[in-house]
Formats: sequence, C-alpha cells, structure tokens
Amino acid sequence: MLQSRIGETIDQIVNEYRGRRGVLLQVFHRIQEAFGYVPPEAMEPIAAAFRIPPSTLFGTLTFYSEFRTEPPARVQVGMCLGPTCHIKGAEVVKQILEYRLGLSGEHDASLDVAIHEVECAGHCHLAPLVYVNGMPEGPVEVSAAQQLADRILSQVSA
Amino acid sequence: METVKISIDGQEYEVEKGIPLVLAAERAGVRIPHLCFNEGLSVFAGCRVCVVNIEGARGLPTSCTTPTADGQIIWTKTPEVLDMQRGVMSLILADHPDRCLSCHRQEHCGIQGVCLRDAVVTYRCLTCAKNGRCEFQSTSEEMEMHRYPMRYYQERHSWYGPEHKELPIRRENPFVELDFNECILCTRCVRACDEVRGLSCYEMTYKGPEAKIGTSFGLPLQGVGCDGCGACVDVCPVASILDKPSKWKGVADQAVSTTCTLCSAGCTLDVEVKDNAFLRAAANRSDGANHGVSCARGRQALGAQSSATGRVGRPLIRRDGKLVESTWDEALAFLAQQLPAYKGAFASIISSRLTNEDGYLLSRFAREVMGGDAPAIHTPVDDSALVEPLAGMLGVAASTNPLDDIGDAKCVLVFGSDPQVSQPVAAWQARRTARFTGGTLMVASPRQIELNQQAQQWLQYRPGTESALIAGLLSTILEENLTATEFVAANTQGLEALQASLAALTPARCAELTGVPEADIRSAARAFATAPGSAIVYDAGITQFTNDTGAVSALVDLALLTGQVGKPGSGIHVLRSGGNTQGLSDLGLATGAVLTTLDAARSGQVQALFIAGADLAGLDATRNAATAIDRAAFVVVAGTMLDATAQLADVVLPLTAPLEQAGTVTNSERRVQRTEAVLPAPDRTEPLWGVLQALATAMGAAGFQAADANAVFEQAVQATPAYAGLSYGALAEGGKQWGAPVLYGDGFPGGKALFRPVTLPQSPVVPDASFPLLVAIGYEPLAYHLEVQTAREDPHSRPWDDDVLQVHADDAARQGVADGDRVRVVTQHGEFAGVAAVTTNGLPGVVTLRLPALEDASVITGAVAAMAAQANGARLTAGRLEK
Repeated sequence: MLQSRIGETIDQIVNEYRGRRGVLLQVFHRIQEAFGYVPPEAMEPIAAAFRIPPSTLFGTLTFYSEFRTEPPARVQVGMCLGPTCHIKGAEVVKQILEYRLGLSGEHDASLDVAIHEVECAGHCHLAPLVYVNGMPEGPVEVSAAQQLADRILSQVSA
Repeated sequence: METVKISIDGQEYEVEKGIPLVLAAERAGVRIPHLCFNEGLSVFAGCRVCVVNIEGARGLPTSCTTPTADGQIIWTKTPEVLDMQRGVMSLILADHPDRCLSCHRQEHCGIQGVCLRDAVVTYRCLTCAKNGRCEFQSTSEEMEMHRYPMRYYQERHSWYGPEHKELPIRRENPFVELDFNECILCTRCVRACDEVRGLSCYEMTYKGPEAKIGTSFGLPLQGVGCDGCGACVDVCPVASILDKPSKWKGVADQAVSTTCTLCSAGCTLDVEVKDNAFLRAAANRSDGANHGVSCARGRQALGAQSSATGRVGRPLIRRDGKLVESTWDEALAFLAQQLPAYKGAFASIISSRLTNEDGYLLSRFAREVMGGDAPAIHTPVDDSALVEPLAGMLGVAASTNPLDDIGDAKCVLVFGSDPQVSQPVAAWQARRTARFTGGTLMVASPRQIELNQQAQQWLQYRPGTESALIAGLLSTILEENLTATEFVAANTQGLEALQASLAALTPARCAELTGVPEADIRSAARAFATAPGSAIVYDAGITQFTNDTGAVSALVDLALLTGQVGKPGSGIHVLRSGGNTQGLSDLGLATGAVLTTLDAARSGQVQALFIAGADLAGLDATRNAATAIDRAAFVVVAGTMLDATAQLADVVLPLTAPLEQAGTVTNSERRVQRTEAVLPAPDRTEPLWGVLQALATAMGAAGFQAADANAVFEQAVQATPAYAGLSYGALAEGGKQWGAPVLYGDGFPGGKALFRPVTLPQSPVVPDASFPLLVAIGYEPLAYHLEVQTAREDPHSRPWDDDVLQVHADDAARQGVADGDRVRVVTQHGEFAGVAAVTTNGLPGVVTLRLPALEDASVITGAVAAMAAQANGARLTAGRLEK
C-alpha cells in the first residue's frame, strides 16, 4: 500500500475519534482492522490528536498481545492446545506443520505463514483442531497433518 | 511541616507526616535498601526490595508505599525482613549480569580493585561502564548478597551468556547510550522523563518476561522528543542509560556544585572532577533556579569552556611584531607605562559570561582609571532591544517574575521564540504548565518548535508580522471588554494612545496581515486575558528587525492591559542571551554597545581597546571586528585561548576559565548565584578582577585592592543600589534574587506603568520574481551560542554536522530539491550553502537557515551578516534556492 494511502486511512480513523477520551484501544483496533497491524506511521497522528506521547502509546499498544506491531503473515495457522486436542496429539501435529511449513528453527521469519497457539474454543469434536485464517479444520490427525501443510503451502504460493 | 513520632529498630524518631517511610527513614539516618524508589518521582513499588516489618501490618509491606503515621513501630533488620529483602534481590539478580555483584572475591579485592584471578577474566566487574558508581552494585554490596545462598538462580559465568537478553545496544544518540541488557525495570527513567520533564520518551513496553523499557517502535531517543536533558542518566541505577561521552571515564574524585553560565537560566549543576579535569555534569537536585533539571548544553559543553587545549599559559607582549612570552610583573609594568597615554580614548568590551566581579572592576577601571565609558557587554545575540521596553514602560530592566512563575501560570504565551534553544529550563517550565498544572500553553511562532508537542494552541504567523499579531490580541481584548479595568485605571497611563494606535488594527485586519485565522487570534486573546495568571515568554527570536522594540513593547502592553504583572504566576519573562548579561547590565555595563565601540575604534575616536573573554575577530559573525581592532593603536586582550582576537593584541593576559574561578553571576530572573572554582586554574592564569586590581594599583589608582571575589562583590554591592543587602556568603545554596521575587507587587517605581502605542515595522522585505522566497534565520538547539562560548577544539562542543537549510516541502518539490541535497540560498546580499532539510514544518515560501551560531548584526555568519546589515537591520531577506 502506498505511504500516502496509509496516512490517509490513519487520519480518517483518528479524526472519527478526535476529541473523545478513553478511545485509544478502539483506535488501535480500527487501525489493525484496516492494515492487519498497527504500523509505526500511526503513532504521530494518534499522539497529536489525543496529546499522548508516542512512547506512551507504544507501551499501551504492546501491553495487549491482541495488537500486532508488524504485518501479519498471509496465512495464519492457529493450533488449539486445549486438553482434548492435547490428548489427541496436537503437539505432534504442530511439530509436523512447523517442519513442513519451514517454520522450525531459524526459518520462521517468513511473512507468508505463521503458527500461533490458541485457547480451546470448545469444538472438541474436531480435535485436534487447526484454524487456517480463522476457519476451523479438523480433526487433523497426525496422519493428515502433512496433507494440510501441503494445502497451506499451495495457498501461500498461489 | 506536620511531624509524627515513629520507632525504627527500637529507636524513636520524629519525621514528616505522610511521606514514604523509606524516605523518612533515610532522612533520619536509617537506610532501607531500595532500587525503584527515587525522591522526587512517584512511587512505583516495582522492585520490592524495601520491604520492612511494621507492627500490626499484614505481611511485610514495602516501605515506599507506606506513608509515615503516628506510632508506627518498624523493624528493618530482623532475620525475617533481611531474608525477604535478599530473596527479592536475588530474583532481580537472576535477570542481571552479576559478576560485579556476587563475585566471591569481592571482599578480597574491594569493589574497585583490579582482579586478575577470577575464573573468567574478560567477564570481570571492570567490564561494566558503571562499575563503582552503580546503585544496584552498591545496594547489592550493602545487602551482602555475595553471602546469600542463591535459592532462585545460579551464578552465571558470563555477562552476555546464551541465556541473556541480547538486546541491541543503542548508540545513535550523541549523549545518551542505552543498553537495556542491564535493566532491572525500576522505571525510574520512565517516571523522570514523564513526571519531571514532561516529555515521556520512555515507556515500559511489552509485558511479562518480555517487558522492557523502550521508545515508540524502538526509535532512537532523538526521534521521540528527547532533548538530551539527562534526567534519565541521573536516575538510572544500573548501566542501562549512560552519559555517552564520559561512559568509560569512571568514578569522580569529587563533585562540586556550581552555576552554569552557558545561558541565562543559571542552572545549578554538580560538576564531577577526576584527575583535576572535567568528568561530567549532572543536575543538582536542590532548590536552585533549575530544580534538578538540566539540559544537553549544560551537561556536555560546560567542560569544554575549561578545556586545557589551546590555553594561553603566560602573559604575552608584542615585540617586533610577534607575541612573546613574558611574566605578570613585566606585563603589568608595560601596561602601566603604555595605558596612561590613552586616557580618554579607551574603550572596553567584556564577554557576557564573565562574573559580576570581573565586570564591576572592569567598569571601574574603564571609568575611573582610563576616563572611558562603561564597558560594552558582548552577548551572543544583541538583546538590548528586548529589555528596553521593560525598563521604559515598567521601570526595571529585567524579567518581572521568577522562572517558576512560568510553570505556575495558568496560561503561558511563548512568543516568537524557542525556549528549548535559548533557555531549555524555561521550556521545561512552560511544559509544566501544559502537562502538569492543567494550564494552557500557547505558542506563537512561524515554525513548529519542540514546545508545540505540548502546546494547546499554535499561532502560526508570517515572519516579520510579530507586532501585528500582538496588535490583534490587544484589539480583541479591547473589543471584547476583557481589559483588567481596575488594574489599568490604578496603575497605568497612556491607554488612549494605545487605543488610538490600534484603531486600524482590528482583529480581522491583523489576521490578514499575519496569516493567523481571526478565530485563533480571538481565542488566544480570551485565554490569555481570562486566566487567573498568564505569563509571557520571549527571547531574541521575537523580532525579525534589529533594534526594534515594537514587538516587545506590544507584549508589555498586553501584560498591562490584562493586569498580568505584579502577581505570582504571571509576568513577562525575557530569556536573555549570554550567561551573565543580566548581572553585568545590573552593574551598569552597556548592552548593545559592541558595534558602536568597534565603530569608534574604526574612526580613530578610540585608540586603546581592552577586550575580555570575547573572541570578536574569531567569530564568523563579527569577522569585520578585526579591521576595527587593527585600527586601534593599543589592544589588550584578556582571555583563555590564543584566539583570532588575541592574535591581534599588543598584550595578551591569560585568564582563568569559568569553571576555575569563584565569583557571582546573575541569571535572567535576577537571581545572583555563586560560581565555584571547580577545577584548579593553570599556573599563571588569573581571574579578570585580579588582573584589573593589580593593574589599577600599578597605575596608581586607589581603592582597587581586594583579597578575593568575596571582597570585590561586597564593593559591587555597595555601588549598586539594586544589589543592596546581598552578601557573598548568603548566596551559597541556590543564590538570592535582587529586588522582590515578583516585581511591581506594590506598584511601579515611577508611580504608573506606561502604555506605548503599537507601531508596525516597515517591512523592507518583499519577495519578488527573482527572489521569491523569504529567508529567515532559525536556531540549532545544541549548537546555539556554543561556538561563542566554548573552546572549539573540543569535539563535544560541536555535536551538529552541518549548516542546515530548512525548506518547505512545497518549495522543495517545485525546485526538485530532495532531503539531504547540498543547496545554496542566493539573496541579493550574498549567498549561503548548506544541507537541505525538507520539512512540512513552517510556511511554504519561507526558507530557514539553521545556523550553529546566531544571529543578528552582533553575531552572524558570513553572508548572513552581510544580508542583515544591508537589509535595513532585518533578520529577514528575500532569496531563491539553487542546487
């Protein structure tokens, strides 16, 4: 996205909330919705509009793990590590996915795929459960993990 | 102060009520170990080291969060308390490099000893820059942590072992180095920057085990508003935030409090000395003019003033065209023989950073012995026009209120100036209003200044229309009946003339002239007039025309019209140029007279010149001073360096440098303060007053003898009515203001204050087709005045890179200029080259030269000097940009 477009969108969002108090988290959420993360460019306009120093904003931003300060990967893989999934071998599934997606060790700097752990969402009938870009898939047995990884890879390269 | 009785470890103490227990104990002489607590900052209670046993309290409470109350019984040394304190400390140690803290050899070699026998020599305590002056280290030693069985961690044999944080060390800032691998998350830096300085450059970022002190997106400090004040350096208990220039220079032999003379704020700084040389400077936290706040200039450049390189070591006398080393006896005899021939044709110039004693004796010498005029004060920027209206309209040529009143005012108008540059402590006061007291900060300036970050209102006017903008404020107040009627009726005269002069200058007309929207002018006028206390702050940037008193007298009109004079939390604050300009002019020396003095030398009217401490010929600024000095038949230069001016002298007298001489100086709030001899003066250097008394005595004049600076000051007090009642001894500890702290509280000296009509200066500068841009002069914060005042040999006195031309993005786009290009500004008076900084700050059509040393006819660089001289005394001219 062009720099100026980023700036415009941020200004637009900031202006909606200008002059109101206690709206900082909403502003962060809206900016993250727009870009997938909160970019560094957002700090100055927010600081100026709400009269909060940029470093203080950043402290708030990084306090909440919900907010990202870097662009998200194109494919987000969520591994459920709840008790049922755990019993049904989710750890091994995760290892297979990581290995196949090239995310183990030093290779996980890629912006294409990211794996993160999620809490139990109650879909235990699907255990072991994997979310691909928010869509639940399951049960992903150990034997099926490799196929899922290949499918994700084709999605990435597409 | 309300007190309570408490018992600590079985001993009764009477302490202040309601303060943190840890502080009360410290004041009573009982030390409770603590790390995150720091007097003057809010209580954080993050380190948990200061736990104590309070009878009746649940568990072991932290003594920083417990306020003192009557009848408390506190135990700080019971086995239970000590075990808890050490347990807590061991948890902090687990996340900190530890060789200096828990080394088993500590008690053998001592905290500073050289150890070669430890297992891993390269990981010794000596590898830490803070070794020996680290609060964490001393606290750990005090708690005898090396004896403590480490339940929670194993001693590691490395500083930066694999388990360590390995955060990158940040070295981008010229003054502050950040290494958060050492950090113990006490957040003192966060609190100092936020609560004391009002800048909030640091914040605790991330959380849990990831938590670390950081800036917004890890930007370098200068990218998040840091002005290098060093508050974080002063409070950091570990080696995370370091004063970069002195990082490896170790522990001071001694620290001496003295007054900084780099600007007219007159901050009290603690100067650390090692091996008889300047080591580093820190803010003194007692109640001086600065209340524990310092600035980058004071911290970094103070030492350069006394740099040992290039010093004149002996008196020099010109023989056969060459300056030859001589002795004091010989030099004084020579002067006593030569000078009498020039009686009546003698003039003297003195640097504005020399002491009151120096100025007083030079003034007496010039008038009594040589039959000349009072000496001219050489200031970095000629500020005589800034003060004249204060004397002429109110009665006293000085700021009306103490600096604190800027911070205590409910509305502060910073007009045409950048206090961050001219007097950083005043900028801090203004920021205090905006951030901590709920007041309104208004900045009137063509460009955004650092204070804009905190300012609630910005009046962006076209350079050169200062008087018109103030006229707009005045006519709004008159039109909307916001006048302080009672005050005006009782205390002032000349209102009708003011009203008449404003008849044509309606707010709408002034909006048109200045480019500031009428609504903004009106709301600013309302805010200023209706606040319970409003202060005006300005420096030499207020007027773009030399010798123009119009803008300042309009500001005085504004203060009078709204009754913002003569009460606390208000007033007119002039940030004078030069460390002791106020003091020297109090003693009757002349401001704004350097150029006329030089002209008199050029015309032959003055034949003997005595120049003290001012390198007139060496500054690009007064380069043409050399021709005047050359014309004089006999030139005496007293100074520390063999500079360009000294090269022209017939006699050179070696002076002691500012940090080597005891004396007094007066800051811009009329506070007379002591400067101390922090460093030993080199052999054969003398303070100027010492030279003058010997010289006057040798020439047969009576009454010049004085044993020390103290005695000279007593003489000066006798001769100066305003200083009546001051005594040298009583000036220790923060000094004393002359006159009432708030002037005019009980009326004006002349009975009534005088309004002056507003006149707009005739702008000689009209951009046209060949010169389409307006060229203005700006400031370079760190460099401001430095070259004028410090030894140029010291690299730290020149922390900027290049002369900068700030070009508005619109103009840059039109000319195809990119950020960082080398460009020239061509004017009809000359041209100036520099590096382009493309910015959207400021107005399109205006190029700002940011110069190391400023400014007008008295100090100005090369082509700009010619520009100023020819453009009818304006600091503005028209020009064009060329690549």
